[in-house]
Amino acid sequence: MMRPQVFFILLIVSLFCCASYADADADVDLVVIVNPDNKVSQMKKNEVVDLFMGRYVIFPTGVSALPLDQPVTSETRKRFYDLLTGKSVAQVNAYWARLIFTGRASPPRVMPDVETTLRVVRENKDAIAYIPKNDLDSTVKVVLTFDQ
Amino acid sequence: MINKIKSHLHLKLSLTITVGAVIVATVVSAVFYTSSFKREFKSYENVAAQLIETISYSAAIAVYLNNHEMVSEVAESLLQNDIIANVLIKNEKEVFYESDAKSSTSRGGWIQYIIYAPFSSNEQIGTLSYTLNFSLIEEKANQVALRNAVTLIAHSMLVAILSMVLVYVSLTMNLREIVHILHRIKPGESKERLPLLKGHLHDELGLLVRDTNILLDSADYVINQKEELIVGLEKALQEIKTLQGIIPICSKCRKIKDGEGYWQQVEEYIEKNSEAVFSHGMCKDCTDELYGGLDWYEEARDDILSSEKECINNDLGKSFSKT
Repeated sequence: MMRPQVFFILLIVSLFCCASYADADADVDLVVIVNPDNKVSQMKKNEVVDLFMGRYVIFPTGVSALPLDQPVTSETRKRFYDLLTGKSVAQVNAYWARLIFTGRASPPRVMPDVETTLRVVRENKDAIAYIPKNDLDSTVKVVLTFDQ
Repeated sequence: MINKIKSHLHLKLSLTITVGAVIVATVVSAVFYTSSFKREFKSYENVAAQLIETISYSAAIAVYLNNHEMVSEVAESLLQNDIIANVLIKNEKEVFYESDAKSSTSRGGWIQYIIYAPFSSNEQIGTLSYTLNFSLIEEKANQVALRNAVTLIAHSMLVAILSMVLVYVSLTMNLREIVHILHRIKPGESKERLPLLKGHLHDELGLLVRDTNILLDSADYVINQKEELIVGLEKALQEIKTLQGIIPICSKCRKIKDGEGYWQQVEEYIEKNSEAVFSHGMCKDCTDELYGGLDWYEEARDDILSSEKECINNDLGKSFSKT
């Protein structure tokens, strides 16, 4: 039979580990990626905001843009919008809910995971998405990096 | 009516209080009317500012998305409020919405609100300008100021009426009772005194009652003393008969003429007209005149004179020996 003191120590250690894991996931660097054939080589933060928040539907070069989002519960999505707009996912969702209700704009298309996102970006010249820097490969082009 | 007011203390007092209160209330109302108006106007400005703050996020999104329809909805929702007269939403490039000018109702000038991007508080993306419905605000502010003034005056009147009732109950009724009893009391005849009033034993009314009773006692005493004095004097006058005025007397025989024209001897006249009585004797001159030269008279007179001298000398001797 496990002694209560030992049980509590193990519980605290396990909680600390989980918190560290979560923090590590939350602190991961993000990159904004586009198709390699896209003429845009670099974007400013406000330009990315304008595309992902529906202000503009075209790149600065004049080419139409297709923003791609991560799943609603994704930590990557949460961190992306926090870094990009300073808003929580709930606030961003409320923003889109207001626009969807009036039928005046559409939110970015939601991808099921990072792999699918990478594939869609690879296959679509208009696509623009964000992924953790760790998942980056050479098949896509980085136009903005969110460093620590 | 005026005479009725003049003859009733509580009416006079309450009228004075009412007139004073109404004058003060009117002056105060006039003084505070301007400040009340400004305060009301300021409060409507704050309401308008809160309205703008409420729709600011929607306006920011609408301008951010360059969506004219959404901007119009925001502006029109703002215009549905009576206190907003005109709305103008624009950015550097274009005017998104401009309401029909209502210059007659918007004398306060344009108030500008800067619209920032919803996702960047530093990026200014447009302006929302509006004017207040000055006529409506002025009317409402006037109503509030007027209501305050009327309330103040009504309050003053109420206080005056209340004070009239209180004065009547606590002062006039008691004074009336005191006056009624005082009218009944006749100093020197009546032993009735003012009763001590309940609830006024130690105040000015109580003091008035006590002092009045003391005064009545003093008046009774003085009147009694006076009456006793008068009775005594009357009695004394009855006992004393005095002769006064000009009495005609004969220069020769010394008879006196009485009121009926008869000449009477002096003794007879005085005894008749006063309480005095005469006892007859003779003075020295008259005895000398009658009996001078008679031996018995001369001897008797010398004896009398020598014995008188002796007496005088004895008396003087005693006086000297004493000293």
